[in-house]
Amino acid sequence: MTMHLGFRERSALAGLVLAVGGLSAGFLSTVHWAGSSSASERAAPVRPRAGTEFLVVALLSSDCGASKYPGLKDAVARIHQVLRTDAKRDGKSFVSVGVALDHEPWQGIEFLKNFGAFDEVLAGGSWLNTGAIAYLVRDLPGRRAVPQLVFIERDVELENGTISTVNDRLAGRKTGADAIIRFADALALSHQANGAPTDADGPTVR
Amino acid sequence: MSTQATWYARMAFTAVAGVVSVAGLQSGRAQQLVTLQKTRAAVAGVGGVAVEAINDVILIRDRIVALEGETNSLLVLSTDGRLLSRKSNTGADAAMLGYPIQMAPVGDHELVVLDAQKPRLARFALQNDSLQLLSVLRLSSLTGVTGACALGGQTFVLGRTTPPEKSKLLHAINPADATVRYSFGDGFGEAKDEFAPIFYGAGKLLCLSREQRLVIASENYPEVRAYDAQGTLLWSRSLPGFRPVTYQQVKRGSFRYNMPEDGLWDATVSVFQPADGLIAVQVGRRKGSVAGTKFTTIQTLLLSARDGSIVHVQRDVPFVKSAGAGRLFSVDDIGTLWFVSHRVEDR
Repeated sequence: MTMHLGFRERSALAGLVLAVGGLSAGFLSTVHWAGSSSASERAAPVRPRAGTEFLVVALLSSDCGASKYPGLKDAVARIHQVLRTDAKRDGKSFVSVGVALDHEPWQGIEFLKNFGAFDEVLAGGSWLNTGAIAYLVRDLPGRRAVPQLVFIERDVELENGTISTVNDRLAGRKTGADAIIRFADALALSHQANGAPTDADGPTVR
Repeated sequence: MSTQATWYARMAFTAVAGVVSVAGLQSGRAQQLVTLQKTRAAVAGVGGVAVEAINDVILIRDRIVALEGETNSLLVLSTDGRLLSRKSNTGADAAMLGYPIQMAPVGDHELVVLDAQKPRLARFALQNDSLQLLSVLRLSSLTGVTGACALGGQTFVLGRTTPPEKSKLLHAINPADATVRYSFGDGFGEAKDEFAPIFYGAGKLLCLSREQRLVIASENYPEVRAYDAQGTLLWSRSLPGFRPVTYQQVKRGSFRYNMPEDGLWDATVSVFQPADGLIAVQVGRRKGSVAGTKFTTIQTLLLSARDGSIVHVQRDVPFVKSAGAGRLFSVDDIGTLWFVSHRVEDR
């Protein structure tokens, strides 16, 4: 069993912490973003900016054995690397989001550090974590299991320099450590073969 | 564009209408399933990588509907593998399903999708090659649902009520208010300290419209059963040579599972109807406990729908999600749908 399943209800969203680039940026603010330039490998997105963002939301938990599965950290890093390159090529901003469904927010933050740099981090609150609610339960419902990667294309429109419209489109999910690792391997393979699967044997549905 | 490859060169392509004589069953003659041609449609997702989670595939009229489990969207394809439309799962007119696992055709141009996350049935109509959401019914009295099918205007769901030890397996759903109209079929497994294996893994449910019966198979239990729509058990059939993983409740809420010593274990992975009068049960054998491991073998048992007698056992049939109109809908390779024309022949 490589997934941690369940929905442990808590009475309140106590302990919810949003840390953006290691700095406090206010609760779920999408207007002000304080990026840290300390992580040299990360291309910090400039916000607010009109256009399309490609988000990779990694939902993890230090309470979950599968989130510590050997090879998972490396797989998440490889996926970030490839999809960041793809996003840049396609004229999109790449945003990596780490969500830790830990009971204790700081424990979650510490756990997420194992996976490298994120552009946004959301930790604490267990299964009532705001990221879990948004990406697993309510807004983009999916299988309630971690570890999970959720891929989102986000169209941002500005009006007079402020955000007027934000539309999210779910592009995919990978649920379970083994599926994430297989995806990292397949992604690397497909990009070694010049970036795209061939249609030689039949149509490809996208 | 679609490339069709002849799988068995000795067989000429035949557009099988799906109605195959089963006279051989009555006289005791064995029948075999012969696959003819395969048409491929790869489903790609993020980064152009194949989508692993193609949860189900069915045929509605002359359109193939695939349940893509990474975005929980429904793809409508032509029989040569072209994408005609995609019904998103999110948004104002979407079903917002959490974990859709099985579809079932309803009548001529509708289908239901069973959501296992928070048990629900979403009903769609096929109109001009795209799907329109008609309704979403919450199955509030059920939990652990694993299969659904429709028969005679009724939808049946395989799942449990609470407490599980008093559960019935099959539930006829009242379409007006999503309540359970009636339930039948006791749980598998006789030992009281052994959690009924039907509740572990995905039980499969198949409705046979012509024969007016429901066929259920548990993923982890070596038995197939057939009921009529009123809940009368018509027959049960043990699957020979089945190597299950057994579960034992150590304490309440905690289970220990025991694998065969050599690590090779079986699961009933599919039940489908290749022809009137016949059902096919597929048993996949895996090595070890790693999820997603490909099957080392897939054994397909052809059973008489009338009495469950074994008609034939084959090893050359791909992993099939469903069958209809002379085609098998297969997800044999990761991210790849195969539409395989076939026929049933006397041996």
